[in-house]
Amino acid sequence: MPSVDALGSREALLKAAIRPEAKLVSEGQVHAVKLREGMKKAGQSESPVDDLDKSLEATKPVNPDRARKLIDRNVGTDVDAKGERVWNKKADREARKKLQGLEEVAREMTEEGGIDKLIAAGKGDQAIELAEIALTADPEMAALLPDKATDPVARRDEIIAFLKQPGMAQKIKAEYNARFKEDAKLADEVSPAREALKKAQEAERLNKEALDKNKKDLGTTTAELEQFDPGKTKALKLDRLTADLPTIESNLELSQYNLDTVSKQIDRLNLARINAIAKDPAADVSTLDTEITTKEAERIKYAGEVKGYKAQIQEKLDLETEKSNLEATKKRLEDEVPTLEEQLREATAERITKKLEFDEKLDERADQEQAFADNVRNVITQAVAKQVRENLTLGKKVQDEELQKLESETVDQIEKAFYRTLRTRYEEPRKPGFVMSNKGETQPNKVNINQDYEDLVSLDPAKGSEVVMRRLLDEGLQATVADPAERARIIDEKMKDAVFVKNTTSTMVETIAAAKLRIGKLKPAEVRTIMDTWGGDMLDKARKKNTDLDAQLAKLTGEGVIDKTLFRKLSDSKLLRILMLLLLGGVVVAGLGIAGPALAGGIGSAAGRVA
Amino acid sequence: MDPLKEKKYQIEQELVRIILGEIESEKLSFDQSKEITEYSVPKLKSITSEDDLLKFITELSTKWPLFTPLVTFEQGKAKEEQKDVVTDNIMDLVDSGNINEAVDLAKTANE
Repeated sequence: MPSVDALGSREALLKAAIRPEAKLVSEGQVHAVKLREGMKKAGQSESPVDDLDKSLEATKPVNPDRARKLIDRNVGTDVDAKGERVWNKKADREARKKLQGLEEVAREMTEEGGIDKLIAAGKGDQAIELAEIALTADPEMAALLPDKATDPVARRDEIIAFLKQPGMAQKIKAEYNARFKEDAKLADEVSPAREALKKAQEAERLNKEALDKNKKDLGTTTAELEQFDPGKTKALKLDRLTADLPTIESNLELSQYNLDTVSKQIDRLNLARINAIAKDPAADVSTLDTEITTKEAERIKYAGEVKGYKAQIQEKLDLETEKSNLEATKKRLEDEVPTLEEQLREATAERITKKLEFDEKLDERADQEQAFADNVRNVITQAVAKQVRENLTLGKKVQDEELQKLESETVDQIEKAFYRTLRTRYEEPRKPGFVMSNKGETQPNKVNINQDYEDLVSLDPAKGSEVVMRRLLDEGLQATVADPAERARIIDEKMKDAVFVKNTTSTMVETIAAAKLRIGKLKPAEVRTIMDTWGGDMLDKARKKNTDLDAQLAKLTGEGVIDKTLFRKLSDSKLLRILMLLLLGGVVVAGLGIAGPALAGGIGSAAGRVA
Repeated sequence: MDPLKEKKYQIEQELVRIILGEIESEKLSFDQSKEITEYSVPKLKSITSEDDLLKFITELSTKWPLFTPLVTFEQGKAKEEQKDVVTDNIMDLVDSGNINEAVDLAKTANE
């Protein structure tokens, strides 16, 4: 297996760049170099495979062609009678166009400096608006943004700065790629449901047709049969024929006899005539001829009578057959009705079921399309939300580390418990269902934060901090001292330790105020109380622990914006911003992208977000 | 770093080296590489023992044979380590005068 290390690959790349004809670099080598650089850029974690996974994610190319096809396929459910997709539906066309626009913006943002290109192309507003949704969803971030109404330019600049943060493009790319994966193609469950409905509709139509035909036939048969009802034409005729039958039969017999007799007579006369002519060809047979003619007339008369009587008998039989056939047909048709009705009921029920299933599939499809569209819309918003969460987690992590350090540095068990409580009291396991929720994540414990914060700012400052400190000490001791009275005694003793109280008060206030900032806005009077009472200590501590912050504060002080002894003279919005700078620390502020210069500019000009 | 963490880190480094090597020689596509890392990351997180680790790389090589040499190497190493442990035990028994037990153990180990 060839193993080219990063340096070797880099060298090969450079050689190829200088002498392209050398063709030393394969696409794979270029990719591997990018991956190694990506891993290096991200900083080494404890898991090289995880680093590689992240680097792969970051170097994964976006596939605009696939995205376009997905948008085309996943938006618009209409098909024509042949099951072909209908492309000319205006609403679908517009929805696709809108999503394609969003996809283009998101795709541009997957590249470093994407926002600048978008702004230059006049398409930056969409990205900025989408980022703003995520930024304002978080109270801590919302508080950092300049006011929309009074300072929209500064607000826009800060959002743009956020979008330029390292890692932002990578996050957008990850969100983009996650949404436009090959398997994001929605399965077409509507067409099979539509086919099933069509079949059910056809089955119902055929069943209805059969029942209608039955009813029609039954109507006709019944009407025809009614002719045999008493007093009706065919009944009268049949009655008459039935009544006349003996006479007809007797007449038939007589006429038949007469016909037979006269036929024999004619035969005999013809024989006599032949004999006479045979004896004498000149013999006079005129008498015989007259007689034959007379008899022939009689024969014709009797034959007519026989035919007539027979016809009457046949007519009677025909009427009887007709009646009986009609009765049989009516019975058959009537017998068929329940079955046909049942079949139609079943077919109708099936059609209704299939229609409901079809409607359900349509609804599902609409929901899926909506979710797909929302997902496309949310590429930037979600990436920004993740960045915010990451930044805030980082801020919390820094604070936790400081508290952990304080806890490990002290040998006093009461103090250890106090710092531990301070670190854990304002967080709780994140409740399921939150959009950004991951297993093991925590969320601010609002009850504890509000309780301690309220006591801190609403009581007399000295009294407030004592109440809260006693509460924290008590909570810290609960694990080791069960008796409340004993705990109270230990706490009374500890509160006499002026050095402990002085050293821990500002840490406690910082932690509580920072926690409060995570869950909402601070009131101007509260900010003033915090800054007036503990601001000086906070500033000293912050300067000691963070040189970046120190530089920023020096810059602000140099500009005359900050004078720690003159907090009272500063407006509320400036106070809040300084407080946030102190509480969140240089790391977080820099991480948020609203770092030194932007914030310094903001302090001078922005109204801030003090509630 | 505790021994398991260290071992895991070494194995991961080796996995990354193999994957990058395969990418370089264009035997592994982007999607295949991503499939491997996406499969591996959660599995690696849940590993709590060296047995888990060996089981993981065995599974990995079943799915992607390019990792078979790593499994062979690790299994060989594990055997060697086991042999060392047995040898130490035999020597301990010899040192403590339990010659018969040492012989029995040596016999069992050679089976």
